[in-house]
Amino acid sequence: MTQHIRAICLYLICGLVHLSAWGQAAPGSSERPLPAATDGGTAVLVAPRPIQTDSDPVTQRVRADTADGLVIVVTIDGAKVSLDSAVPARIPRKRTRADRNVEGDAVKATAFAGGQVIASAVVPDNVINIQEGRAGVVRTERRQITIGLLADRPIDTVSIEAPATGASASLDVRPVYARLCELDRNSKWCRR
Amino acid sequence: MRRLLLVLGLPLLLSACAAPNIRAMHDPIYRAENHTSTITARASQTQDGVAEITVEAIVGELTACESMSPLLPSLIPCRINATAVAAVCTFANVKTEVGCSLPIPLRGRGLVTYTASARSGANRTGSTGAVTYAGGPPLTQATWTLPLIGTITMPWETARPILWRTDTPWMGTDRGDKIDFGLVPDADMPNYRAFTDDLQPRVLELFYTDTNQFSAWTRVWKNLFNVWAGPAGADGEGCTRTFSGSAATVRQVFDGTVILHRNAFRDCASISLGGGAGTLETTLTDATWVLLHEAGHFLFGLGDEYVGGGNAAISQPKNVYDSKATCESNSTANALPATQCVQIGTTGTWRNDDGQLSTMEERNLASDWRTLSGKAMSNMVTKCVGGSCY
Repeated sequence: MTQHIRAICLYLICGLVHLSAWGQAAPGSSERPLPAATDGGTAVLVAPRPIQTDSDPVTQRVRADTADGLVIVVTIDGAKVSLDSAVPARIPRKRTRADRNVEGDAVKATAFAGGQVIASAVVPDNVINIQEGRAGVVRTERRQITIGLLADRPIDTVSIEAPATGASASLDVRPVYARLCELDRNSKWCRR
Repeated sequence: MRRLLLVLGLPLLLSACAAPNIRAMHDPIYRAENHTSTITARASQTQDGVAEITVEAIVGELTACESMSPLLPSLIPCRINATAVAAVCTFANVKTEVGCSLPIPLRGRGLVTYTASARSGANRTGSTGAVTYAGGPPLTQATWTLPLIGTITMPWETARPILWRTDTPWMGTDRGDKIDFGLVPDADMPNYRAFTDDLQPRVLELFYTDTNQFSAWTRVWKNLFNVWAGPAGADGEGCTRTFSGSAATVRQVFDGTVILHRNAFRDCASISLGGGAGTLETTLTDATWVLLHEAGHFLFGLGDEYVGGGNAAISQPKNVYDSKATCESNSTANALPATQCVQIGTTGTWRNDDGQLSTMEERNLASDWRTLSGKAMSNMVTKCVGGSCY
C-alpha cells in the first residue's frame, strides 16, 4: 500500500514538471521516451533538475585527474627518431610519471624550457611483440610511441632516449606553441 | 542444539537482511550516431522481494573541458549543460528478478553518468557504482570565447568513454587505480559504425555476459577497468601498428590499445605493462577469447606458453623463463610446486604447468589464468587496488 501511495505521489509531482524539462536533458533531443518496469511494476520519470557544471562529478574528476601538458607522438626506427605530432593538451596525470619502473624496454622523454628540465616521463617501448601462430617473438625496430609530458609553460625541446635500439634525438616543439600564441597573444603559452 | 539452531538460522536471518542484488547496463554500449540509449537495471531479493528500483542519470553535453585551460583542450571529456533525471520503478515486493529501464535520447555529443539502486521489501538497499559513457556524434572541435578576441575553435577529439568508472572516492581515501583499456577501429573497418558494432559483443562478453571460464577473471574484476573508444586513424597489419591524427594523441589516455580489424591476419601484440597495443580480428568465432589472450600480452606482459608462440614475458612474476632453474625458483617463491616446471617443447623456455587449460597456452574457452600467469594477474589486482596498476 505504502509503495502505491509513494508511486502515485511521485507520479503527480513528476508529471507537472518533467514534460517541459526532459527534452532539454539530452542535447538536441526532441523525443521523450518513457521509462519502463517489468513484472507488473510501475515506472515514473522523476523531475529533471539542472546540474551546475562545477558540481558535475565528471568535471570534478577530470579537474582532479588531469593537468596541462604536451602529448608527443614519435616514430622510432632503429636509431632514428622522428616527430609525428606534438599536441598541447590537458592530459591524465597518471601516465606521465617520470619515476615509473618500467619492466622491459622503455622510452624516456625529457622536456626542456629555457635550458632547464621541466618535465620527464618514462613509457614502455613496444619493440618486443608476439605474433600468434608460428611467428613467435617479433622485434619491431620501427614502432610508434605516444608520450605525455606535464608542463604548465611552453616546452622548447623534448629529448627522446630509446636504449632498446640505441635511439636518441632532441625534438624542437616550439612551433606548436607558436600556433597557440597566434590565436591569443596574451596566452601563457606565448614566450615572454 | 543451540549451535545447530544458529547454524541453520543464521543464513536465513542473513538472507532476510540482505540488500537486493542489483546491476545496470546501458545499450548500445557505444554508438557515435544519434540514437536512444537505454539504461536498464535488474534487481533481485529472494526473501523480501524488490519494492523499488531507481535509475538515476546525469545527461549533458560532452566537451573538451575548455573552461579548465584556455587553448588547451582535454583528452578526457568534461560535461556542460547537464540535467539529472531518474526513473523510479515500484514493484509489489517481487521475489524474482525485476527490471527498470530509463531511455535517453542522445542527439549529439552526449555524456551520461548513471547509477542504480534497489530497495527490498524490508527496506534494505543496494546500489551500483557510477558509470559514465558517451553517445551520439562525437566532439570534433574545441571552442573558446576569449575577451577582446572572440571565438576561437580548433579541431579536437577526445577519448570516448564506454565504461568509465566515475565513482566519487571514499572520504579520506585514495581511490584504486583503473586499467584504461582503449579500442580503436582499423583502417579496414568499413566505417565507424561497423567498429562500434564489433566492439559491443567483445566488451559485453569479456566483462559481463560470457559464461565460459576464460572470462571469469575479467567478469569478477570488471570494476578495475575503464573501457574507452578512440577516434579513427589506426592501422594494424601483422606487428606493424600506426596511429595518425587524433588516434595517436588520444592513445595517451590508454594503458593498452587494441585495434579492431576485419581483414584476416595473425594478431600481434606488444609485450607491455601499460602503454602497449595489439590487434584483434573481430570476425573470429572466438574473438573475445583472442582479445583476452592478446590483452595478456599488451596489458599484462604475459608470454605465450605454447610451442611456436612468443615465449617471452615481463609480467610480475613472469609466466615463462629461459631456464628450468629460474622457473623452479620463481614457482617456489610464488607458492607453486617447482616440480610442475616443464619445457615448452624444445624451445629452452620453461613454464609452470598444472595440467589444466591455460589462457596463454590453449585456445580454449574453458581456459583460465593459471599457475604463474594466475599469480601475475593476482598481483595486478593488488597493484590496482593499491592505487597504481602500472
